[in-house]
Amino acid sequence: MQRMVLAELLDRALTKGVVLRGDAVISVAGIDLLYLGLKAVLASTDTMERLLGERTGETSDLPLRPL
Amino acid sequence: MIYLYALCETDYFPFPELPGLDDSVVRAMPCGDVTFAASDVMASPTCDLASICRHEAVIESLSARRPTLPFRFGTVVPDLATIDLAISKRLTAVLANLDRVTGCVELGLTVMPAPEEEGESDSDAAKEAVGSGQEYLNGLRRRETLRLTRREDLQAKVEGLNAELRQLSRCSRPLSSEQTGDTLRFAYLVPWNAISIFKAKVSAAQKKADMPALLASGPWPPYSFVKPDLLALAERDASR
Repeated sequence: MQRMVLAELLDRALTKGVVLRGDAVISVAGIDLLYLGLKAVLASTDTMERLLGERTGETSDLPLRPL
Repeated sequence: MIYLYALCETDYFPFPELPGLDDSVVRAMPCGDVTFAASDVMASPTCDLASICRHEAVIESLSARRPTLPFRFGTVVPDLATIDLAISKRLTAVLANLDRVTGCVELGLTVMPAPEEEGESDSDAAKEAVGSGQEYLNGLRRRETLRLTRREDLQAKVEGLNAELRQLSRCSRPLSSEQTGDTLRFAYLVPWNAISIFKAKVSAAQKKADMPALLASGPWPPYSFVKPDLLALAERDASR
């Protein structure tokens, strides 16, 4: 869930001219998960988390393509 | 250098004391009818998650107190005159845009297809690549057709919900994403007092049979509802 919300944040806050530095993987572990949790205003966590689990397995990293 | 977070209408209310990037303090820089939320930085900011979250926190704190137009992360100008000149040429449009977002927040809706609804994978394409070139191209065309069909099906499934959410919103738009593959994404500019109704409608829709997974996110600053190119001349590439 946090990965999805983080992607939402990055899609909004970044322009396509901004390139993420370094590796194209950002650890979610070091950021404010409470903040991301608060940004999910819908409690459809079971459905979304099940799908995310099926797709990627449970991982704490968000793979990002350079924008 | 001046790092820009947001733009708001000039008023008499002081900015709250907010920590900005590089441990700077966010300050109000008035330029006639508009005021920029900005801070002094020594160099273009590093594009890491902590900095992005700091940028976001500043904008959200300001948005809670006054209508703002957010700058995207990494917007840096050498001096205030640069941005002042750019904005003064389109002041009417800027003020109109501010007026449009007043009292509203951006909410997002992400629609995620089930794994079995996704198109064939790249490995399938690789398998077909061992055949002739024509077979390979036919395979590509077939997969693209299939992908578009599934995308249309997905859109049809959420069209009813989308229509209801549009009615709640001052305006809305579909979003393209660099990061989420075949998911559908929409942004809505929703009045503050309609957030709970928005949430309830998405929640009710999620309970319907055959509905793909839905995620509503927000409230966000109205990034998706800043008129394209309105702040463009102010933007500098902060990445290197």
